[in-house]
Amino acid sequence: MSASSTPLLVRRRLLIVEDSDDDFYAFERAVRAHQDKLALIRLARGDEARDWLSAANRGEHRLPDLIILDLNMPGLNGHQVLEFIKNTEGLRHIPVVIFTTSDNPEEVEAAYDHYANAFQVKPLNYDALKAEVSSLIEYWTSLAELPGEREL
Amino acid sequence: MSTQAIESLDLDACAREPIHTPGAVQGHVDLVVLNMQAEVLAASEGSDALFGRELVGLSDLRSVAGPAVSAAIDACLGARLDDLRENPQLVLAASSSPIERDVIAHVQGERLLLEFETPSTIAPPELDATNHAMRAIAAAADVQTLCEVVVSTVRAMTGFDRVMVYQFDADYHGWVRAESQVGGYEPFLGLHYPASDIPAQARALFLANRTRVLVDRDAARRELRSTADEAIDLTHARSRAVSPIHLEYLANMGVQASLNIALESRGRLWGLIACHHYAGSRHLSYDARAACEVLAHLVSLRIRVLESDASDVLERELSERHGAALRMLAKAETLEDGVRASRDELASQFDASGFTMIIRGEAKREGATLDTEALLQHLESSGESVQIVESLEAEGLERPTDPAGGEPPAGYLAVRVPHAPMSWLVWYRPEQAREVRWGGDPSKKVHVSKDGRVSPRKSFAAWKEQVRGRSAPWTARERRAAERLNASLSDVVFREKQRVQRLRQELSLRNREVETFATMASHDLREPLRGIGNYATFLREDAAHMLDADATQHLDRIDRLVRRMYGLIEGMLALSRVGRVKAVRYGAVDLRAVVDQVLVDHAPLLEETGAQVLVSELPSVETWEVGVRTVFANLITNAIRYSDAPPRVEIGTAKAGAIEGAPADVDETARVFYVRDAGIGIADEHHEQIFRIFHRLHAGMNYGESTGAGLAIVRKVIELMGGHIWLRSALGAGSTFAFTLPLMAELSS
Repeated sequence: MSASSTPLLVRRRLLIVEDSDDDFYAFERAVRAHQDKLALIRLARGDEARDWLSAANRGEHRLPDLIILDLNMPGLNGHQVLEFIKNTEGLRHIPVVIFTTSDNPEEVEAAYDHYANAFQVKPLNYDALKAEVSSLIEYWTSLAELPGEREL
Repeated sequence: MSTQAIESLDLDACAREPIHTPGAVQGHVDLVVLNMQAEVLAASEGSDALFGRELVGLSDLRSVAGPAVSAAIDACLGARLDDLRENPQLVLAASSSPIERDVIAHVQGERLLLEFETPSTIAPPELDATNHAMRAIAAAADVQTLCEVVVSTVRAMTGFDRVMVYQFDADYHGWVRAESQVGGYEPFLGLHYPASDIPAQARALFLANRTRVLVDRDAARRELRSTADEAIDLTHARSRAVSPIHLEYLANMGVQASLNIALESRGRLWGLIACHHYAGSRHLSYDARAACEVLAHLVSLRIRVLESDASDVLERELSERHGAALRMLAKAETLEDGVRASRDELASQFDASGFTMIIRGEAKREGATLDTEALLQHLESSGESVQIVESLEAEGLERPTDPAGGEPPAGYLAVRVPHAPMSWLVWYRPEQAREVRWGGDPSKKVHVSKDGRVSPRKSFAAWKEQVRGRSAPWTARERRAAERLNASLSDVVFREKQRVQRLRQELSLRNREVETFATMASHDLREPLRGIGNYATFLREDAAHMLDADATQHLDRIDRLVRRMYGLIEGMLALSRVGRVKAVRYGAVDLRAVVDQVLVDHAPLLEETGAQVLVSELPSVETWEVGVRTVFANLITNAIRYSDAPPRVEIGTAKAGAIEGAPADVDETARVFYVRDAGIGIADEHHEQIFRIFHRLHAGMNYGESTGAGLAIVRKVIELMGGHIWLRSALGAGSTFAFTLPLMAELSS
């Protein structure tokens, strides 16, 4: 999966910013079950994510409906990307779910301080990951009403 | 009339008495006062006999004085005029004069004063004796030796019954520092005399005219007859009549004749060479007196040199020791260590009997010292950084008693330690010599005779005064040393502060490193671990058809090891987080609610094991909620896990004494909380080890999964709150974990 996959209007566009190939592989595997509902875009670096989102904000390509953001990344880290998103007109409405290894209370607090919409700790085992990802997708694609929904 | 009033009246009278213009001379002299034209302005009673006619009013004394005296007068008004100004000299010896008088002349203003003195019958000292005296004086190595040399040589030279060196202190009270006498008179050595005995104008006169003679107390004085309007100034006349008050004073002492020669140092009246004669009158020749004057002059110079040498040597030594003290202070880790190390060097600066250092309000005492609080209050209420007290009582401070029987302090010198609040170095002094022996009772200086006239005191036997509660005065040098110490301490303390700051920075850096490490560990170690676990799962999912039983089992093992390692990382991270004190927050906590919540959180474990948990009444306290919850959660889950049969757990509170094994510093009556199980128990030898991180007594999955960090965290949390935890247990007999939380305040029970 990559940013080049054919966009389907009915599918949610989910941007995942994750530097670890292994973690991304596990995540991708876990969302396979929801392929019909999702278009998955992965960016491996924080600064890449910022540039891609800026371009989308200028109308060069479509904005994502949901962003999954890792915190520990080389270069621009997750906190900085989050801050950029939430401080940028045209981006700040996009829900951001922090998805990280760290369960450090200070990190959790910092993320919410920068208006993260949710904070989830990556579970150790794959079955738990699958369950978590399912409920995440379920919530953000079916239950939650997202901005711009009515226009669709 | 009160004694006080009489005394002040008398002192006043004394101080006002114009002793330089007594209007009379002593009985062994005829005084003739001329103007610059040799006209006779005044002459003493009886002087008419000198030349067989009345002198006062004569237009020129030379017209009647005969050739020898006239030639002397010519010289005085001519070539010797300047030399004689306020400087009496022998201008004509009796041996070469038909009137058989020594003529001693001096010029005072526009007057020539001629003292016609009856020649002395006492032979002047031999030149050899004088030389010998001079050499002895020059050789004296210190002031005391010098004084002793002076009294014996002067007595030998003059033949007076008693010769003393009398020294003034800063307030012009005086004491007899050296004495030489013959005839078995009552010794005056060491006696003190009040300043009023030699009043200010008498002292001033001593500086102008260094020699004061009384030839015979009983000789009638000779009044001056004068044509002049103003009183004749007799400041420099050696034969000036002695004040009747002083004569009475001498009479009270039985002194018949006296000679006092001033000793001066640095322009100040240092003391007197005082000679008393009891056996009769004593009239020294001009040459003998001149020899004494020269000697006194030499003594004055020697005193000045010896005192300044002594103070130079002392100053140099003290300065070296001050430097040494500073070097020690600078090397020390703390101010306290520094002061201890340099104690002797610091003490050398002050003549003290005791010392206290007060550091941040806390006193480190030695010997009998003041009540710290009272002293501190006294010191802090003044802004001065050097404070000197010579009488505690006068300052309203209570004098302590020394339980060791030492001399209790009566005064102190305190030096503020700059930049350190409520910190002082205090040196103490005991009472000054408990007794001062006065020459006569100075409080009864005044004697009022029947006719109401005031006269000096009559008793000159030593009168002992108990000087109570006063220390010897702290000297100007000591004050300077204290000020110097205060100034240099400012630098030293600054260094200590810097060192503490550096340590703090290092510590906080280290704390941050630990945190960073823990954060890194949580991410960097967990991530690959999670990967390994995931790939094992993927392998199982994707390649199930290719895996035999062994391969599947190996994959399960990978899973288990991953979980185990994950647990270790979690435990390490959790422990590192406990160490961060800023996490500790105190508040009102209902302990019963905390325990209940822990039980709810672990409901699956309770259900699975069928555990029975009994919770007795627990108080509400002021404590760190997250901390105590962590403690109870760990102890309760441990109690449930380490049981073979369905677990029975009791949670409650008791007095420390009720649970054996408490550390020595736990008060038996302190409240403890306990978690007791009827489980497998722990052998004695493991009671300490179980509190160490990753130390587990049981391998693998026996008794459930555990990270081995739980009890380490429990102990760390309890220690953070200032408490203790201990264990009462034996193999197979269950375990009781008990802990105190001494920092808690009980809100209710």
